[in-house]
Amino acid sequence: MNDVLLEVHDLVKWFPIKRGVFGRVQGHVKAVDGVSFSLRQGETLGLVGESGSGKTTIGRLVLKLIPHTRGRIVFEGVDITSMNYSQFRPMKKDMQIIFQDPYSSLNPRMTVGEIIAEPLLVHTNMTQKEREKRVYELLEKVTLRPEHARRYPHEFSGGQRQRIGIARALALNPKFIVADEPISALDVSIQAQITNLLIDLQRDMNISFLFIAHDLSVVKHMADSVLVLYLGKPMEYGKNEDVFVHPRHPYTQALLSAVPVPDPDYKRERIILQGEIPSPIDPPKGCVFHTRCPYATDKCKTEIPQLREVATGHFVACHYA
Amino acid sequence: MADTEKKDQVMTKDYEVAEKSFSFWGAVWRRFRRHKLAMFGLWVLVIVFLFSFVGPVFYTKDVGANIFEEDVAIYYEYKIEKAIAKDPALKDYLGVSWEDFKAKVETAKALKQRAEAGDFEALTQLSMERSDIVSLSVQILSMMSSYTDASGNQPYANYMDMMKYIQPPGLPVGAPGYPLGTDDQGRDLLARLMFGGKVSFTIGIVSALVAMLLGTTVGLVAGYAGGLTDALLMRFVDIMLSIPTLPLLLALAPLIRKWTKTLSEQMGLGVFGSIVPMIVVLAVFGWMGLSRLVRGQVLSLKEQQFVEAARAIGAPTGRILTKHLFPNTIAPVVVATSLAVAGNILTEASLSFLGFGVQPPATSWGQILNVAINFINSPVQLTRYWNMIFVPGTLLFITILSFNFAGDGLRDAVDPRMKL
Amino acid sequence: MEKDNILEIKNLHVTFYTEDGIVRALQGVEYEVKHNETLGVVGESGCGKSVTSLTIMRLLPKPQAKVEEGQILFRDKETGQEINLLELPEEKMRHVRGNRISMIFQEPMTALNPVYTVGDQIMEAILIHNPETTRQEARKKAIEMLKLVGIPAAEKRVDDYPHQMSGGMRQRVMIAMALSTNPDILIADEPTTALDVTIQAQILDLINRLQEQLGMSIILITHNLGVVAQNADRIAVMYLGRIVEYAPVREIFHDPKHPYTQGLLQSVPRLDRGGLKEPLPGISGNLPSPYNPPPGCKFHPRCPYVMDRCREEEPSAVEISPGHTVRCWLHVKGEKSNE
Repeated sequence: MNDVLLEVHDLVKWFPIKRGVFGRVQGHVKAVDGVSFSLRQGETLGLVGESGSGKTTIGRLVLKLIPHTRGRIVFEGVDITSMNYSQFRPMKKDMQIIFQDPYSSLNPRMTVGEIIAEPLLVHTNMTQKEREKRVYELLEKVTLRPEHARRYPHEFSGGQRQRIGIARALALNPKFIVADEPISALDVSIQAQITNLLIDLQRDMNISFLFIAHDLSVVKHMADSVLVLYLGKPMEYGKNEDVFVHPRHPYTQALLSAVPVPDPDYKRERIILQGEIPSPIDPPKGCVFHTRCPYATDKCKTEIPQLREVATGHFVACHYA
Repeated sequence: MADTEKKDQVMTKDYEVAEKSFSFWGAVWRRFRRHKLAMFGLWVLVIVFLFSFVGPVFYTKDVGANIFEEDVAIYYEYKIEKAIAKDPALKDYLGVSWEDFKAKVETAKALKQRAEAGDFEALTQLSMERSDIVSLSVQILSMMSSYTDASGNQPYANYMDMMKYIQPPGLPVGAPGYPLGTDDQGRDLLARLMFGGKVSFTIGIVSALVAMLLGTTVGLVAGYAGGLTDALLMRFVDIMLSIPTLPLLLALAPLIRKWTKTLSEQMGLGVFGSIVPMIVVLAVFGWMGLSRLVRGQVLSLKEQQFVEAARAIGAPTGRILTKHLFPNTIAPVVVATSLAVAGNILTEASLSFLGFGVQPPATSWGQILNVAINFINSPVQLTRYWNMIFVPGTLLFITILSFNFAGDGLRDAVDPRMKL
Repeated sequence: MEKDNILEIKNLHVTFYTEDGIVRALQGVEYEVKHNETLGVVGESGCGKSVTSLTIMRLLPKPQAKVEEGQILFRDKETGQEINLLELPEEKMRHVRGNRISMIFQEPMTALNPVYTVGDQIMEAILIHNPETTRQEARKKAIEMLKLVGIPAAEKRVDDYPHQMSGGMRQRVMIAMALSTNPDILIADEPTTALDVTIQAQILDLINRLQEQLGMSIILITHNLGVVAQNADRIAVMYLGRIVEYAPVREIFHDPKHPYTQGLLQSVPRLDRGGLKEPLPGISGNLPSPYNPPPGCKFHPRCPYVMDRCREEEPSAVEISPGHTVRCWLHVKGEKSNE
């Protein structure tokens, strides 16, 4: 596979917990614990999980917005893990991010035009005129109007703001975008528009997305392959159909059954998981999911299941899958 | 999709974006204008500011010039002439004394003119005339006070009181040419209030601005750098805040006085030299609160996604600090600074009132009050010099109150939930 | 008021007078809640779904919001009397609020006071409405309620502070508190929006179970169509201060009449159907600013079936089949000549 754009090997991120006056390290939050995946050009990988699953952290690690603890990130065949900030800076042209919160992700003191032009200002030698022209192009691409460039973010609705954020991410024609829950803060009728926009952009510009979401229906709609996370560990990884049609991990099955379907007559097996999501500071021994798994055995409490291939390209971390 | 796009374009027309566009400060001004008390405060401030800075252009009396016995006698002459105009019988009653008094005043006026032109002899003669002027003034005043008119009243009995103006020479409120009268040394109070206002405002504003610069820089650096830098800077702030400012300043007062003297006399900075120490003192002890405020702001802004977005774009640190963090801290900083100006004016007044603030040749409202309080030690003195206490006191009170009104309004306009 | 209704809202108009302008938050909202039934209220931000429930509870922000018109009729189960909540004196309203009608919110962290234990807060709710109860009885009842909402080791957790609990646990506590007075109506305003999917399933399951067990009516307010599909008997769809469609749940999902309802249903990707990266039909355009609403039908700028009439005149609600009303010119038949 030579069209692989991004490869992640055994990525680990532990956040130290510091206590007391001298900031002694008391323990670690194991936010991401041994995650591997690869993403091909023009495709979408969906990262799914609940709070504490580490999905957002993975997005930040891949863009080197936070330092990683262990593992390897390879982008276009180049190992970016050991690069420092100034070495990595030019690569940011190709790797961008769209944020969840359309309100806090735009600087309230800058006009829309300034916000979208900022990547151009930082990475190119374009003149003021050229930048202006490019801003208008980008606004059009996300179906906003050129005169919006002079306005401030607070004058726009959530969906419009998210379009502005997308325009900013597109400014440098990136190859790869981390989309961190890009629609979950939006109104329902706007979600569809943004989803459509992202799909169109992917088709037109051959962008690869790392699509982070907690909503499985959206991931099913968007992602070519899916990685299901629980407490920083991969549970199931495979192609869209593998995960959504033939889920093998009990956690995936429970997640799917928990999604409310907008059809009063839709019948399915309901698996309601008991208990709470454990704290990632002190995750359960053995399989991290065993405390809530309806099928857990003694083996699950002691032995950590490895991610193994159960069918071509379909990986599951469960002793009984 | 192309179809939907076109529809989108047509439909985003009317109802989705706010009708009018306001920049942040435009919106702040719009909200501020609706705040009645704040607007009132702002107008008062504008008036007091113009009074202090533009007033001296039109009212050119020398702040340092004293008046003498002849000036008080001229005032008596003016008062009595007005009384005569009302009751011509008075002129006959006063008779020859009135003629003598008038003649003496005329002589004095002529001598004064010559003296002002540089005639030293006239000046000597004038100073010799002064004891005569005093005795004639006392005589004419006592005659006035015992005058009984046709209906048996003594309408000028209170003229005896006016004797208090002759020694030391001073004038009350309403004397011609001296609308607010004079201070204890016979200097024009209105001119001094304008001058004092200029000094008070300058000290308040400049020290607040310097403190703002210091505090914002420390806060930005501490908040953004974090770690050891942050810890060290914040401990320094703690230390600065733990210094008991007032006792320290009182202890250092001799030093400050000496410094003032050096600056204003030896270095020839004049009035400016005597306010610099005050500005330095207020700024040095006034930036800590602001640095904490800015640091807190930066800490919460750092968590905002637009800062992360800037980093994801690859914006350099300098750009993140100046373009993303700083502009978002300005609003609370401006509010805090506007309130700090009021605080600094008040502190300056208190220090000057205690005699440790602004040193002559400069004066400020606080210093004018200080001078007044220092020699007023009886109820008589209080009625004699009430203008020296109540006029600058009221001015100070109104100014501080207006600053607080305007600052409060500004805070509400910027962000009603801000904690300051 | 019909016999099997416990709550009827009639022609409710609420206006907010804010510094930035006037917002007509509710314009002729009408719905009824039947005994032991769940009414789902669905809509996007600014549609007025939460304002309606705040009006029922008489908790609208005081100087800005004004009820211009309308009635909220509530049937007291004990006496069988009908009362208009909008005309009730405040002290009597206090007896209704939190006692006959309870409410749970989206964010269970801010709705609980951080300086009291959860037990204290449930006990307070009990003691306020039943002053003759002793503290021991109230504590026993609080533990009983925590058990009822499925909190393990309730005897111990009763002395926990809110921050010692997870989001899902806190929402359970909120429910325990709301139900401790055995209310006739529970208003649940986005009760699961802040929760994870698996926890959301737990909470919805819990609410359903408690409804069967205790017998109460529920007003379930949400933006998530999936949540109401499986949990509500009837649904009111709101858009910009109006109920645009009001019908039994099956009709809403299988035979939606209003273009907005149709668009809303087509906006969400679904687990049970739809292909990978297929465009979602959805709704074009954005939500109008509530300060600057369009004339005529409020949905016309986004409606695919817009006609000239929609731009000028606002349609009124028409009953097209028993219990199914729509506000749309497409469904006004034969009346065209009259108007």
